[in-house]
Amino acid sequence: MRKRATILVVDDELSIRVSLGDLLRRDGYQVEVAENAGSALEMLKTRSFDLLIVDIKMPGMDGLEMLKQVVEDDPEASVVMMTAYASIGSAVQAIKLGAIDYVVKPFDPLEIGMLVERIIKNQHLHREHELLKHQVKSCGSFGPMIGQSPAMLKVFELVEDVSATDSVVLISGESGTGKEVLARMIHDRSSRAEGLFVGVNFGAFTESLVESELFGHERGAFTGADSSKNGLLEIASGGTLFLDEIGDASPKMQIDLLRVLQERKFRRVGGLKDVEADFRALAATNRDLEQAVEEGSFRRDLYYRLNVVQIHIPPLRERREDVPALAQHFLEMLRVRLNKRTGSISPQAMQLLVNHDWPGNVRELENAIERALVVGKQKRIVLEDLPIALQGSGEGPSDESLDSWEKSYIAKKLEQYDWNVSRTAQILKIDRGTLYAKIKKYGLSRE
Amino acid sequence: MTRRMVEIVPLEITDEDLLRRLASEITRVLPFECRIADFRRLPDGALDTTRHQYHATRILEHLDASGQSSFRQLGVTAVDLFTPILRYVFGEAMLPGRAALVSTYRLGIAPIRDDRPRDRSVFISRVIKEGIHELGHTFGLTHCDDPSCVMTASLDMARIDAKSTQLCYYCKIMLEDELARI
Repeated sequence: MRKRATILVVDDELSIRVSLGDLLRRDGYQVEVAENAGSALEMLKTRSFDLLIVDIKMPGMDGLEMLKQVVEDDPEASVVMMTAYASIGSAVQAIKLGAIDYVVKPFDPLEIGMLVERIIKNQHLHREHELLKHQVKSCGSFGPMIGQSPAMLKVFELVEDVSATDSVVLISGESGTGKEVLARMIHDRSSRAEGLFVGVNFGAFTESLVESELFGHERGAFTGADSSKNGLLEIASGGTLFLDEIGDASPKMQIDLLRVLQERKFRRVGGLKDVEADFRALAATNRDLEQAVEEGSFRRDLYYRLNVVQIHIPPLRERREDVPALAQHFLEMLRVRLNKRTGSISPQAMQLLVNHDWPGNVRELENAIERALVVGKQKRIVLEDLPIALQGSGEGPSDESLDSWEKSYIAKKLEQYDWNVSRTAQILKIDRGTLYAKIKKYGLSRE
Repeated sequence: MTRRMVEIVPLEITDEDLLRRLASEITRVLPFECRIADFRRLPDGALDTTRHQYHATRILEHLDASGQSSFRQLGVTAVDLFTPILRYVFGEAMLPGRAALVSTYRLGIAPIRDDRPRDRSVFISRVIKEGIHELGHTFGLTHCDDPSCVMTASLDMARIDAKSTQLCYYCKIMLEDELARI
């Protein structure tokens, strides 16, 4: 299974966009296409791609001019140029301007597949290296979990207490509060830290895949099982097994898990022998498991088995004082990954971050910082770099629908810029066409 | 329960032995029945007179349009195929969709001699693998990293020969999930 890298194909010929897009999708990549340099550059304002494959000869702005602009904005961008006419001159020019490689259409099937794979692999290695360097530098006494609020200090105290034991811990909290990060902290502080931390997510896979991943299988357990395979329960031996989104475990899986937790042994799929299981279980959920038990969708006996110690991570809106340190931490971490030079957050932007309710919690904050780094053009994050929804914090009643909120927000911005549509579109970070469409949709007009 | 039917469509190819063995292996490897349809001509406009090759995507579109009531159609042809971005392809398929296509043109050991049994068996094995591979794409399966899985990318003859006709464990589960969904 491949990691899904994102690729933007830019070519004015429809047949090339379609066939190259299909070719790359078959290799498991996520592909977007653009028919000219202008729309590609517009797309690049709002999202980033792991690789750009750009035709040199296009009407309007050509590929080399586009390459110049892309590299100016992001010197680390990976761009491969393509052309229908092999010419050493344009190849040399493309490489000089910062392209990684140059290919001639139509491609040799072997050549293009290997080229893309090599570029994506190199990027992953580079990013991992940068991230590891940052993590080593930033790991404090509580590693990547950041917080000085009384609520978080209480959580950290509980972490210290449970780390010394081998008890099952149920970590609860809304989505994005950092349940897996907390589980890793417990593992890293426990006597099992030398063993592996193995996670399984019950919300992400089908039941049959989770079953085989968790329990492993014997040779011949099903058609195609040509050899036996260790499950995560065996791989986690001596370490910690993290049961993420346990509330999504199927009824059958709940029975199997209960047996393992009670008897500390299990059988591989298709196996007849019991295998000893030596792991410490940590579970996490964003659902109210007690309620799920009452409703009959979660087994009561499994709930009691998991809920030996419960650690609840409070939502970010209940610990606003932690926002500045968290925002600064994400800025440091993400600027390395995104290769940005943005070094700080303006006081106004920080105030907005502190005031926001963060329904998506720490993960949403991280995404907001990432977005600000991607779209931001200045040396520090300013108000306009933050998502529009966030900029409206406190400006509109929270029970309004998204549409009516958007309508009043756009109207306010148009007034502010004296109905200069180009300027307002620039401020809203949408193109003029989109703004005109929204003006029409909401029936806005200048009084 | 009646198993779903894959239709093999011979497109200007008359090698009945090859088609029968392909059908038999599809039935063995995949949870489908398989039948061989009547011989058909390649669609008009499929030949690109500049490249002297046949446009795989156009043939696929023709197959798809003519097989609206079919579960899946696998076209088999002996002509050389291309797509606008690649110099040649061994096959092509809709990802996902109803139609897949495989060509025998580049899958032989040149020069192919049917009187040499080993050449013939290697050739048939390659066509079978590529046929199943392209059918896999029609269920949304992408290329697999497991070199023995039939869904591994068919970049050259060595890689085609090294893989099996079977789906790996994960691709099999994803096919089952897709079949349960449709």
